Amino acid sequence: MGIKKALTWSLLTLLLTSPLLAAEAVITGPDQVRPGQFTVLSSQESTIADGGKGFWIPDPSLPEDWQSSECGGVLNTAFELPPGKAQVTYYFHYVAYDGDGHSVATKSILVKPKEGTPPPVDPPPIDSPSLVELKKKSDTYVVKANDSVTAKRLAAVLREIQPAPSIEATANLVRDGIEEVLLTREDAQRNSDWLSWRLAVNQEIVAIAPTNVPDYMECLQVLATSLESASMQSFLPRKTEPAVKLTVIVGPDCHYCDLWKQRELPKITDWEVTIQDATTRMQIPSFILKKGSSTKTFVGYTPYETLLSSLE
Amino acid sequence: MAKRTPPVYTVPPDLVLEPDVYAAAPSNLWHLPKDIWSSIWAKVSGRTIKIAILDTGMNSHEDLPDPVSAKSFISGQSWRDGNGHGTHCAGTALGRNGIGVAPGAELIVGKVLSNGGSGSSSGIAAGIRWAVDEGADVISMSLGGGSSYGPTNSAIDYAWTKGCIVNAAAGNSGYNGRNTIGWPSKYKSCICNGATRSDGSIANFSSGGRELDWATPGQAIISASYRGGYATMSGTSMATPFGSGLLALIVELMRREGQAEWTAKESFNAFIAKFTEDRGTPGHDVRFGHGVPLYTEIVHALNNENIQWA
Repeated sequence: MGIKKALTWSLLTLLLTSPLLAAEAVITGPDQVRPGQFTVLSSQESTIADGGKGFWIPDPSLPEDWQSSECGGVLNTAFELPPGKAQVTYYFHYVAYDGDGHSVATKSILVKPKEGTPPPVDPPPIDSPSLVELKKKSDTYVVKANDSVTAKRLAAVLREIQPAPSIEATANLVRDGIEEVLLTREDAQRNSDWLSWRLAVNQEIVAIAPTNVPDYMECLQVLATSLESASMQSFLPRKTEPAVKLTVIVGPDCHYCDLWKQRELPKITDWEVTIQDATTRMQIPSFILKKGSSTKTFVGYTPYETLLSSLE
Repeated sequence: MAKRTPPVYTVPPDLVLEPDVYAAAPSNLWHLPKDIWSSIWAKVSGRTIKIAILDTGMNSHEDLPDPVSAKSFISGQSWRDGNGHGTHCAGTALGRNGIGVAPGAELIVGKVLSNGGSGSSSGIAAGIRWAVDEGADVISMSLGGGSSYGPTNSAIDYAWTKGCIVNAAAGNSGYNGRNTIGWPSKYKSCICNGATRSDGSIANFSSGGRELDWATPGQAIISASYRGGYATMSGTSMATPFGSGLLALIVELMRREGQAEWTAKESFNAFIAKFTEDRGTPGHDVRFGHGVPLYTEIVHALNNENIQWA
């Protein structure tokens, strides 16, 4: 037997004795989540031979505006409860296939509010036009602040304020309470602009010109309602605010997304730019950004200034 | 190719050390006159703000709080101060009883300089990252060296991503037309602090260059001595904790009033350009930077006293 023939036989023997791994799809992730909870489904424990592929099949009953982002086989998303439903179950499939066959994994996720969470209660209607205006102004700036944690704490402080003998003394208690909450903000909450909210609602209360403690207390309750409604809304996936979208771009192989987030995100303070989507393919990030009516896709690492000038 | 040796940072060279030591601090310090600062401290003192002093360590002193966190990056030496430089700086930044700018602030101590006054650049870079992770809002570094070191620069950038401001001494090499600013204060993301004298002029030892951001009191500064009592020292080392204490007041006011915090040095530049008294050559210059901070105006502007109801 010649050397060439012997080598061929050896290679063939090696191939035949090596175990051939058939594709196996595996999904890991939570069985139950709360509405709005950031959820990660991973297919990374799947076995796929070189040259094979895998893909997700989301539940067709998911609403049309359901959003997700895939990064390295990891699906990042959040679920909303359909109107009028106390809970819902969604089914996700992951199909893995290669030259040796295919495999399908199925995962069910129950979306259910936390036990004991009281259902949202509509606040009593506000009759006075000036108080309606106060709430409207407060709502605008609370949304801009985009900080449900602080909103909730501020609301709690305002609800707990006990009327003092004079309107000035009550206002002092309010200012001290608000400033204590703001001073003790932590982490990302420190990036939120609450001063604009304070200035705006202060201006409205000046216009209302409360002359006695009960009138002023009524203003405070309106503000608390506004802040509480913002806290409730935060449990729903937000569709236009980049803060939520950016949480879905962090994936195991999303190095450039992370780089972009760390270097450029802190500079986005005015929220003029909306990140519509952020994904990676072969470790190259792709961002769909929107400013005003201008939308553009950026691939790769792009300085924020360049993004802005491209969108203008 | 020969591997580049990382620079060694030290207490800025040519530091002028005054021998005076007092059992008690004078009732009115030139750099913290009571008529101005009493009314400032009535409004803001640095409460809840953490200042990290990265220096030669710190010794217990009646005017200094116990550190909320302390660590030595010097092999074989505890975080205690066997030099005096670090304790003095801590006193100027946040000493109680009228010797510090932010007497309500909390203290983090990182010993990155040995009792001999020098330290490795890698230890300083590690110290910055450690202080940031310990929750420092302001890092004060009265130290410097002659060349840039990437990990230190990266650590300063890391600090900004966590909302922590790094203020460092310009150096004590004076200025004769050539840029004498030391590293890391020369780094673009680092605030560069020069020193002034009691008459308001720039101290002759204060290094100069286009990276200079501001100048604060740094000559004949009385503060805590590591042996107890009080000592006088001069240098941009002394000006830097003054600037850092002022930054702590600014951060407290901004946070308390509800402003979004600064996330890049550009925000500091924009702010301080409005609240400094321009000295030297008009506009930003190599000796004073933007100028000398206007303490009362800063507090007044940030305190939003017009917010009456909320």
